[in-house]
Amino acid sequence: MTAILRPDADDIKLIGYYLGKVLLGLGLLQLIPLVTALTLGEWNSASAFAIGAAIAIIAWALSDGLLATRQPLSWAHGMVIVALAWLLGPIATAVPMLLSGRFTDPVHALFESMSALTTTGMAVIHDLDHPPVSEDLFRHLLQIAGGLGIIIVVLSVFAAGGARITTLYASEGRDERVLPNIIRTARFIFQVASTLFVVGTTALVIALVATGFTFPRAVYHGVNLFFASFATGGFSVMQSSIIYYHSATVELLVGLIMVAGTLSFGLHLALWRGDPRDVLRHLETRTLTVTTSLLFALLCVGLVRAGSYDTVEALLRKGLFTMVSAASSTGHQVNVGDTYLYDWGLLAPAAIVGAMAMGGMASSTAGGIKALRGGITFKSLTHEIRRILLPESALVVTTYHAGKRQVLRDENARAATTVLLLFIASYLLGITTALAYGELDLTQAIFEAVSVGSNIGVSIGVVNPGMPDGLALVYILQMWLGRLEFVAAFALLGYLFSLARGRARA
Amino acid sequence: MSRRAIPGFWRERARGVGYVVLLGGAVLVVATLIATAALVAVP
Repeated sequence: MTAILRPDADDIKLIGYYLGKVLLGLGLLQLIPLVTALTLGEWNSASAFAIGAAIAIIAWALSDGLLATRQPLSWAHGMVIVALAWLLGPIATAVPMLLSGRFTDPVHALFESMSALTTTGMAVIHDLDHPPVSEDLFRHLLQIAGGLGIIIVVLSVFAAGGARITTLYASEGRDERVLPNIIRTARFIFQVASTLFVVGTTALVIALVATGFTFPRAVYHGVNLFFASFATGGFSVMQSSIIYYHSATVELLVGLIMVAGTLSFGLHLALWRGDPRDVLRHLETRTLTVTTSLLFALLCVGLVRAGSYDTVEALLRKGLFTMVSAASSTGHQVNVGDTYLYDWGLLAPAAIVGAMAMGGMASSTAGGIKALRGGITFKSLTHEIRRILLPESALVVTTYHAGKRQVLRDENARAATTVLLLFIASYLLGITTALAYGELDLTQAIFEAVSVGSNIGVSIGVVNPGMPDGLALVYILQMWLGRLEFVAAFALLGYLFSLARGRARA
Repeated sequence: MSRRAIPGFWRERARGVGYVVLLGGAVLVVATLIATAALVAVP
C-alpha cells in the first residue's frame, strides 16, 4: 500500500504565501469603494472598508515577509491554494459587509460575500434598495472579480509568470488554455471584458436615460448591471431585480450581456480572431442549443397551460429572460420569487431547474454542471450504445469538437460523469437541509438547492434576510463546492488527511 | 506606438461585439418560433 506523505513546513509556507497574494488583491479591491465612500461622505462605509482592506493587506504583508519562497507549485499545492482562496477570500470580504451593519449576523455576511465572489447572486442584505453607493459598488466589484477568477486577476498582475501560474489556472476549474501563455490569456479576457463593458454600459445608459433615469443614476445602474450580467453573477441594484426598470430594451441588453458572459473565452477568441464557425461546431454550443431549446419549449408549454402568459411578448420577456438567466447562471429576475411557486404551475419551474442544473459553458464565468460535461456524458452514452450494437472486434471511436477535434477518452467521460453526480449530491444536501426545517415544500427546496449549488441565483424566495443560519451555512458550502467544481475541495480534504495521517518525509 | 494605431485594433473589437449581437439575435429568433408554436399547440 502506498504511504501518504505528510506535507512539511515548506509546503504550508508555499500555500500561505500564495494565499497572501489573493488577500492582497482583495484588500486592494476594497480601496475602490473606500475612495468612493470618502468622496461621497459615507463615513460608516468608509471605516468598514478601511478596516477590511487593512486586515487583508496586513495579512498579505505578514505572509510575504514570513512565508516568501521560490519553491515551485505542484498540482496538489495549486488545488489546495484554490480551495482555500475561495474560503479565505469570502471571509476577508465579509468583514466590511458585517461592519456595515446591513446583515443579520456574521453567517449572513459570509453568505453574501460567498454569493458575490462565486457569482451566485443571492442576496440577504437588509434594504437593498437604499444602500450606500460604495457598499453597492463593492458587491458588484466582487462579482466581476470572482467571475473573472480571483486567481487569474491577482496572479496575472502580481506573479512572475511561468509554470506556477499554469498550475493555479487549471486548478481554478478552467481547463481550456485559450492562448499559449497564461498571462496572454488573462490579458485577452480583460480585453474582451473591457470592450464589452464600454459597449454594453453605453447601450444600457442610453436605454435607462430613455426610460427616464437621470444621467448619473443611469451610469451607476448601467455599470453595476454590466458587472453583474457579464460576470453572470446576478446581483441587482434594486431589490426587485430587472423588473424594476420595466423596460423591454433593458431586458434585451441585459440578456445579450448574459449570453456574452456565458460564452467560453475560447469561443470569444474564435469570434474575435479565429473562425467564428468554431462556435457552431463546439460541443458546448450544440449541447446548450439542444438543452435550452427543449427546456424553453417545456417552459412555454408549462406557462401557457398554467395560464400565466398568453402572448409571445410575455413568453419572451418573462420566460426567455428567466431561461437565459438560469442557463447563463446569472440569476437576474423579472419576477418576484413567489411567482415561480404560485403562478407558474409545476412544469415551468421544473424547466428552469433543468436549465439551472445544466448551467453554462466551461471556461466562462458561468456555473452549473456545465454544457461540456453534459455533452461529454451524452457522447459517452452514445459511445457505449454503439459499442454494444457493433461487433466485438469493431474499434469504436467517438470524437467531439472543443477548441479542436478531440477523441472521447474513458478518463474524460469518467471525470465528467463523476462531477455531474457530485453536483446532484450537492443538490440533495441542500434539498434535505431545507426540508428538515419543516416550513418549505419540495418545489421550494429543489429550486433553491439547485440554484445555489449551481451558483445561479434565481430565487424562489427561500433565501432572504430571515433565513436560518443552519440553512445559510449549507448553502455557503454548496456555493463553495459549486464554484470549485468539487475537485479542488476534495484535494483540500485529502491534504488535510495527509497532514493528520501522513508519513513524515525521510 | 498607441495600441489604437495598431491596424485591426478596432476591427477586431467590432467583430467580436458584432458576432455576440448576432448570436443574441439568433437566440431571440429561435425563442420566438418556439413561443409561437407553444401558443398555437397548447389548448
